[in-house]
Amino acid sequence: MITLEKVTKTFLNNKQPFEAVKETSLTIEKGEIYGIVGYSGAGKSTLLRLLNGLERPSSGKVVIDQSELTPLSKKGLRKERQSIGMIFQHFNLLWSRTVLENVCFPLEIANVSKSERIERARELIELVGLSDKAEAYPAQLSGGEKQRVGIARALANKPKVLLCDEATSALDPQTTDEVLDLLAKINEELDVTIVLITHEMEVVRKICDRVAVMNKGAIVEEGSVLHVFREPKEDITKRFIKQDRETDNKETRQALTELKNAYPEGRILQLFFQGTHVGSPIITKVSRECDCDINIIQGSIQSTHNTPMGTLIVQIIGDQEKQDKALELFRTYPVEVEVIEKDV
Amino acid sequence: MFNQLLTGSILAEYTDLQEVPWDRMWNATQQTLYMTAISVLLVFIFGLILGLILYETRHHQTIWSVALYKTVSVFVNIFRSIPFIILIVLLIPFTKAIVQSMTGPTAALPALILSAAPFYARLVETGLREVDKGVIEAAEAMGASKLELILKVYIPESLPSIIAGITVTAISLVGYTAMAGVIGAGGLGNLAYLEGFQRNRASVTLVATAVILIIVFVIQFIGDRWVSYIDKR
Repeated sequence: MITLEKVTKTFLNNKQPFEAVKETSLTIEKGEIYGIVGYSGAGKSTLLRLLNGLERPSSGKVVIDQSELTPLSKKGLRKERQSIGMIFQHFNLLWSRTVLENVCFPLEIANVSKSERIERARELIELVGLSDKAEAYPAQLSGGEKQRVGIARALANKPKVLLCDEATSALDPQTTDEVLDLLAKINEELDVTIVLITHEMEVVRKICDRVAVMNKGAIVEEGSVLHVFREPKEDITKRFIKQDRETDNKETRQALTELKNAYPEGRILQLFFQGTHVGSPIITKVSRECDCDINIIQGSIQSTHNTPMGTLIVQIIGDQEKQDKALELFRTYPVEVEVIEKDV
Repeated sequence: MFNQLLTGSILAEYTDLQEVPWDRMWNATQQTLYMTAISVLLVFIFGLILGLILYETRHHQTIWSVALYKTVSVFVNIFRSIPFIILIVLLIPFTKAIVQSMTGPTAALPALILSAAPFYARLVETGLREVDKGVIEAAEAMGASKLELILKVYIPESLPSIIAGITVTAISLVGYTAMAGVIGAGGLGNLAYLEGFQRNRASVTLVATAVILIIVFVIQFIGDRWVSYIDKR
C-alpha cells in the first residue's frame, strides 16, 4: 500500500545541511494500523509528511497505492492528496466554519456538488458521533470532539490512507482512548490504512498492528507490536516500553493499596493473561478443584490492537492449605500469577 | 464679570445656528459620504490585494517573489509615510490627468486611495500572519490550490482583522476627506474651512464637526458589531 524506498530528506538550516530523515525504506500493508514512535526531533513528523507530499524527499521514492508521488507535478500531487486524509495534534479546524462546514471543506476542494457534500458530511458526522453538534463552531467543542471533527474531515473524500500526526497528544487519557477506539473502528469498517506517529507507546500498544521506532532520523527497530513489546532490541525501544508500563503501574499500584485495605481477608492475587487464554474458565476450575471461594475484585483487559492482555485481581478465601493449593493450581495454567502482599 | 461676558460670547458664537447654511451642510455631508464610501471600497480592494501579495511573497522563495515583495513593500512604505496634505498637492498633475479636474469630491479620490491602501495593506498582512499555520497545512494536506487557500482559508480565517482594519482605515479616511476639502475637494472639511474659518462662523465649524463625529461613530459601531458577529473563536 505504502512503500518508501531509500528516502532521505535534508533541510538547510542556516545553510548547514540537516538530515531529518536518513535513508529509510519502509512498507506498510493495506488495512494496517502502522505506528511510528519516537521522541520529538526524531524525524517522524517529516517522515509522515513525506507520505502526502507536504515534504518532498531529497532522494528516494514514495509510492502510495501504486502511484509514485515523487515525479508528480504540484497539481498532480494535490489531486493525489485528496485520497490521503490527515489529522493533527492541534486539530487544525477552521474556526470560521461550523462542524458541518469544516467536514464539507475537503469536499469543496474535490469539487463535489453542494447537496452531495452536505449528505456526505452528515454521514461522517454521524459516524464520529457528533450529530447533535453539526451546527456548532469549533470553539464550542471539547478537545475530543474537535479531533472527531478532524477525523470526519479527513475521511470526507474516502481516503485510502489516514495519516495521524500526534492525534491524541493534546488529549486527556480518557479522550485519547475514545479517539483511538474511533480510529480502530474506522480502520476496520472503512478499511482505511492508518499511519500514526506518536511519542506515546501506549497509543501504539492500543491500536497498532506494527510499529517502527525512530531515532535521529532513522528507523532503528520495526516489527509487529506484540513482537516488539515482547522482545525489544534497542535501548530506545526498551525505554519507550518501560515508560508505557510505568504509567500503567502507577495507576495499578494505587488501586492495589486501596484493595489491600478493603479486602483484609484471604489472599489477593493478580493474574495476567495473554491472548487466547483470556476466555478460558480458569477461575471456576480452580475454585471447584480446590474447594475455595474466589472473589473477583477487579478485572481489566488491556488490549493491544488484535491480542488482548487481561489482568484480573482475585481474592482467595479459605484456610491456608486451600489457598496454597489454589495458588499452585493457578501456576499450572498459562497465566502469570503475582501474590499481592498485605503487609506493605 | 469680564470672564463671564467672554464665556457668554464664545458660547453665543458657537451656538448661532442661524448662520448655518443647512442646505450646503447637507450637500457637504453627502460629498463627504461619497468620498468616504468610494475610497473605502477601493482601498479595501487594493489593500486586500496588496496585503495578500506582501503575505505571499514574504518568504523570498524565488527571485520573482523577492522582487515583488521589495517593490510592493517600498511602494507601501513610501505612500504610507507621506503626510496626506502633501500627498494631495503632490498628486495634482496625476489627478488632473486621470479625473480631468483638480477640484470636487472625485478629484480627492486618487490621493485618498493612494495614501490609505498601503496602510490597509499592512493591516491585512498582519491579519494574514495570524492565521494558524496548522490550518493552512491542513488545507494543503487536503489538496487545496493557492487560490482555494486564499479564498477559503486566508480570508475567512483572518476576516475579523480584515474588517477591524477597514474600520480603522475608514475612520482615518473620513479625516483625510476633511483635509482634502481644504484644498477644494468639497465635503464637510471644505465647508468648515470656507464658512467657519474664512468667514469666521464658529457655529458652522461646530456643526460640521458634529456631523463628522456622527459619521465616525456610525462607522465604528458597524465595524465593531460586524467583527463580533463573525468572530467565532
